[in-house]
Amino acid sequence: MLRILLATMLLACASSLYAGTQERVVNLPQDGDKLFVTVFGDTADCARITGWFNAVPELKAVKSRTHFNVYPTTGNMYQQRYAKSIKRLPTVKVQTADSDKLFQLSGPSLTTGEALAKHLNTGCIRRWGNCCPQQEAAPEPEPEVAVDDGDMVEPIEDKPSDLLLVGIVLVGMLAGSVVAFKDKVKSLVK
Amino acid sequence: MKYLSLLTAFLLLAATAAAERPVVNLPPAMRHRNWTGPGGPTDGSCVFASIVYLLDWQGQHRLAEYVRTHYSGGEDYANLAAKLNHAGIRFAYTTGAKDVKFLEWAVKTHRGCGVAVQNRAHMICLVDLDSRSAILWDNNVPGKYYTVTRAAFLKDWLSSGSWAVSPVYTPSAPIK
Repeated sequence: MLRILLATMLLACASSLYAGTQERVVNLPQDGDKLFVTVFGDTADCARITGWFNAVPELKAVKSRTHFNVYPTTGNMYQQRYAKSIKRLPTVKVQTADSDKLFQLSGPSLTTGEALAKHLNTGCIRRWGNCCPQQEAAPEPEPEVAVDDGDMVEPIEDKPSDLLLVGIVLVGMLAGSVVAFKDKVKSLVK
Repeated sequence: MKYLSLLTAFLLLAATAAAERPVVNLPPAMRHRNWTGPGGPTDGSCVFASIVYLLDWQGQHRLAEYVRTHYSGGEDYANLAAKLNHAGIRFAYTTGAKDVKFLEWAVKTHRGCGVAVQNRAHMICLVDLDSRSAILWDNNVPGKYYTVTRAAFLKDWLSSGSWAVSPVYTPSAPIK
């Protein structure tokens, strides 16, 4: 009986150790539509801004709901892939997976984590609620959007939605066809 | 009428030009060529070269370096899984299940995946896939991508045991 008990305990230990080393992901994360939040800057700026995303509750929530990447200027990825597209450092950028830039804040405008959270809240989240940590919260007052240091902030204009784009294309094609048909009819009658 | 056609063409062009392709696109200077395994010149390390590419793309440079400096030679899915577990690498894989959805997941989430091809003699990276074509990165020709039809790629992959594997970390940010 004692032997059986010991064997069972050994087996349980072995299986729990094995399970502890299993890194295989079985449930694939369906995060293809997540937004990307990216920090670019020198090592010190990256550490400072990443610290905000770990400390300020609103930014923590944003970080947990997006793909969060940090690219120091000393890294290969920054130098080989991003350097050409970054005009000012440090920069915090929010993008869709399809490269649509939703928000960008650069340079001296990145003063504190709280200020960044406010800019994010007004400049990005209200328009694209899916990165919003507090969607149910009362809307922010309007004036905060217009920032004095406007050249530092790079708000992205409202873009037509995909549906609108498709609509415009379809209307264009339809109008083109109608005009072409009319021309053809006219030419036939003549 | 002319303006309307031009506007339509412009809008269509703008819509298609927006997204980066391939969606998984490690800079050329960071791509590692396949290296020789313990079995000599004919013993490549294509599985590990593919994993290294994907780890670097997903921001796991230390793990990529670990794989590159510790592993070489030919590999099958069971041994690879054991090695990835040993290295503490989070990964997902499919084999023998003809699971095309796995490939679509890997591309939709911008992670990419290693795929067995050439009757399971080689592994390369699937870096983009849509309804018509597949874009592939071959570690034997690391400087460029090549495109094949979706049907041709799937035929090759399915006849190679439908093995695909991907690390599961954060994909790199879009370039724009």
